[in-house]
Amino acid sequence: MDVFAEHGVAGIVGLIFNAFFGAGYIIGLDGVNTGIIAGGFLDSNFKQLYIQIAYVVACMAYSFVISAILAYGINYIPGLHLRASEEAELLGMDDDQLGEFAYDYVEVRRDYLAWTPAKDEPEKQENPVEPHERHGIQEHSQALQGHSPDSSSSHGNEHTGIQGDRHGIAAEDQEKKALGANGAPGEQKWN
Amino acid sequence: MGAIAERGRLIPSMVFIFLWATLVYCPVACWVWNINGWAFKYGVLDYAGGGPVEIVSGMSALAYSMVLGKRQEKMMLNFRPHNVSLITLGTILLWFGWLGFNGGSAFGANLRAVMACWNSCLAAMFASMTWCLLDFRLAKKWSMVGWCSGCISGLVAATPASGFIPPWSAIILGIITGVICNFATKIKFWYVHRSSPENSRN
Repeated sequence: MDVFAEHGVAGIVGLIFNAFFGAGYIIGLDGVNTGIIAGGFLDSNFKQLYIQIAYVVACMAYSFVISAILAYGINYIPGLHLRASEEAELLGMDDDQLGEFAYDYVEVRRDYLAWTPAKDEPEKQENPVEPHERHGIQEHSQALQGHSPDSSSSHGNEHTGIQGDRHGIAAEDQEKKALGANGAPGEQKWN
Repeated sequence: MGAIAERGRLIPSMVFIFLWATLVYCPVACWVWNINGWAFKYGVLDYAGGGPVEIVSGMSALAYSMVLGKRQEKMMLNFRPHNVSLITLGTILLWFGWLGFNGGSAFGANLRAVMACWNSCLAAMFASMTWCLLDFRLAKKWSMVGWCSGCISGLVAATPASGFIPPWSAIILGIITGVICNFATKIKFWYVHRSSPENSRN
C-alpha cells in the first residue's frame, strides 16, 4: 500500500503542481519549446488546472481497472495463480521461489559451520535440512508439519544458547500474559 | 514490484509485468507523449511521467495486491525492515538514477535539463526533511527509513513537475509532498485486508 501512498499520491501532487506553478520561462530553457507551451497559474493559464485533474483521473481509472482485470485473468489461468502456498509463505519467498537467501543471518537454524570450500558434490557432504526445520520459530515449524503447537511444554522461547533476542521476547510474552493481551503464546491457534 | 512481497509467485508476476507494460503503461504513455495522444492535444503538462510512470505504478500495485490478498498476520512475527543500510543505499542509487531520468527528459544537455535536476534535488531534500519532522512528531526519533521514504516521494512528485516549475516552487512542492504522502501512508489502515511492506518499490 505504501507504493500507492508514495508513487500514486506523489505523482498526483506533482501533476497538480504543474497547473499552479508551471512557468513558460522554465519550459523554454531547452531552446526548443520557447513560447509554444503555456505554463499554469504563473502564466495566468488558469484552465490548466482542470486539464491536469482530468488527466490524473483518467490515468488512475484506466490503470487500476486494466491492472485488476489482468491480475484476475492471470490468476484464473491454471498454473499461473499469483499467490504462493501457505507453506511457502511460512518459509519465505527466498526459499520457495529462489532457493537462495539474501538474509541468511536471520535464519537461526542453518548450519553456519558448513560454509567451507566444497570438497565433493553437495548431496554427498551436506546434511540436508528439512523444510520444517528451517525456522527459528517453533510454532512455524509445527504448523508446517500439520499439527498445532504443543502449548504446554514449549513455545520456542527457551534459552538455547544461539538466539540473541530470546530473553527479550520471553519477557515480553510474560508481560502480555499478565495483561491478558492477544498474541501471548498458548493462545495462538493454528489450522 | 513490491506489491507481491512475501506472498506472490515469481513466474505469474513476470507474465503480469509483460502484459501490464503492453496494455497499461504503453497506452498511457502514448496518451500524453505521442503527438496524436488525446492528453497531448488536450494540453496536459507531464514532464517525465507523473501519469504513465507514477500514478500507473501506484494504482497497479494497489490492484495487484488487492487480487493477492493480505499476508497472514500470524506469520508476521518479525515484521520490520531487514537492513536500514541497504534501504539507504537503494534510495541513494535511486536518487542518482532519477537525476538521469528527469534531466534526460529534456532531450538534450541544455538549461532545462539542469533546471530539472536542480528541481528534483530540491523537492527530494525538502520532502525528506518534512517526512522526518513528521515522524519525529510521533516517535521523537530521527528515522532514516522515514528520510528514505520522504526522499522517494519528493523525487516522484518532481518527476511530472521538474521541467515546468521554477526552483522556489520546487521547495514548496517538496514540503507539500512530504506532508501529503506521509499522511497517505495511513490510507492502508482503511483497507486492512491489503498489505504491502513498508518501502516497497515498483
